[in-house]
Amino acid sequence: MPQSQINLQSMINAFAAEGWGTVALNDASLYWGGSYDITSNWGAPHKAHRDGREIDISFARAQNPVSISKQNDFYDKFCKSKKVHIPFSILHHYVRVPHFHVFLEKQQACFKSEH
Amino acid sequence: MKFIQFIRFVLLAPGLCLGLAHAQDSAVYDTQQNLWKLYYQDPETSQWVNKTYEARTAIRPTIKSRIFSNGIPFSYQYTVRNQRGAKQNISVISIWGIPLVYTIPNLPFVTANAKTDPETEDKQQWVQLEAKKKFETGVVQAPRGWSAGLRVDEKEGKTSFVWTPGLKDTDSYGVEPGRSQSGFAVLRPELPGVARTYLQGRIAEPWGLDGLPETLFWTAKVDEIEAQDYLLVPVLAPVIPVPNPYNGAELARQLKAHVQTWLKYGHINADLLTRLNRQFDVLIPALDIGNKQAARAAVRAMRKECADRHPGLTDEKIGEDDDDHDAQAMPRMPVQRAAAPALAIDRVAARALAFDLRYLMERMDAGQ
Repeated sequence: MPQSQINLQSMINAFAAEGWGTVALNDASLYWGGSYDITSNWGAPHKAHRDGREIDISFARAQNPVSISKQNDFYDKFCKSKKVHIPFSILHHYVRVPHFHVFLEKQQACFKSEH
Repeated sequence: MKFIQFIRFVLLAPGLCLGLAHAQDSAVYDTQQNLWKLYYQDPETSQWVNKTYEARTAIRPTIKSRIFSNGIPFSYQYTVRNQRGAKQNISVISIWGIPLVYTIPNLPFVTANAKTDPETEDKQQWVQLEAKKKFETGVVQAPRGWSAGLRVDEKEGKTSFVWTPGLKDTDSYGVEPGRSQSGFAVLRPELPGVARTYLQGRIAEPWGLDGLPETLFWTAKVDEIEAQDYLLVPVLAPVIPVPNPYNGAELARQLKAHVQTWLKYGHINADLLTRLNRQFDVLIPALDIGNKQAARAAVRAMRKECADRHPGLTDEKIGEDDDDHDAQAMPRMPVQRAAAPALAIDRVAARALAFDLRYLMERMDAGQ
């Protein structure tokens, strides 16, 4: 997935430009591919992490907290420009285990998830 | 058999109609509360739900745009004001759709093959990204507490300058009502034209339009809401490339082509555009054959058209425009357009034209 890799690098650069330190990435793909069955039901919530095109970014783990008062600014920054070319889009999870689910290819929408 | 089907239809039809009448998608704008009231069937739960989305237009922006130069590049500087009476901070500022994609000088190439030599390819990608970032920070600059970026749409051949508040708690939360913020800047060698700045207010839940059903109705409705969900303010922006090697007639042609775009956005009326075009049609051939007298006369006539409509419009300092004018938001709704005063030419447009014509004359007098 060279395009995913290029887009991931571009995204990390965009985060760095916003003053983020370490970007904690996880669960792009299992070594031999296949489903991440983290809930033992072969379904959601991790079923899309299959082949390196979708990846999680934990902002708590890398000590880059996005405070509640700044979540809307973050959303604007990385989602308002969705109508012009950006090589990735982000699903915002702010509740249970705060992280971003990043679509590195194809997906063009940005969402905030209640989960 | 047919009779039984008919009886079934007669018995079921009222029920179906009632069901449809009750459960109908809707999106209604409440002008008093500045809210969109949305009613829809949740795609996951199938329940009918009410939701609101706060429109992001409860702002009262003005923008002062100025140009300063000590040669090339020009420094375009912007001060954004949110007038008293606004209900939201201004948090999205984007000079939109500059019809250029910049060539980054000495951009390092990625030559390694990702499959056969992934490490080298990875390094080259990072080097290229760093070069792009360095270029970006040299072009668009932000005041403290804000961040700036270039958004490039290569397919459309357009670039936007985007400013948003930083992500640290100590960073800006947008331009508050009754306050102004300076320090938004763009450094580019292109001459000024008119562009529009896209502005939105800061709301608690900008994701309010997420998760609506993916139906034709909601796709069209979200587009409709988003199309009304911002204000536009005209600004001076780097739009007109100076030909290299320099060619005055070619520059005048590009200026004329840019001026034609003003009619669509309401920066000029058709009558004045026709009058300016008559002068361009004298100026361009005059520059082509080096007839300085005819070129000067055409430029004088065009500058008079601008100055007659905007008293106090001067361009005494070479390569500078520091007019004190604050551009207001453009009328976007038909009602607003009808109420707005009919201007022959917007002051920002008049300033851009005066600046560019002075530049043309300076270069002509310098023998170019």
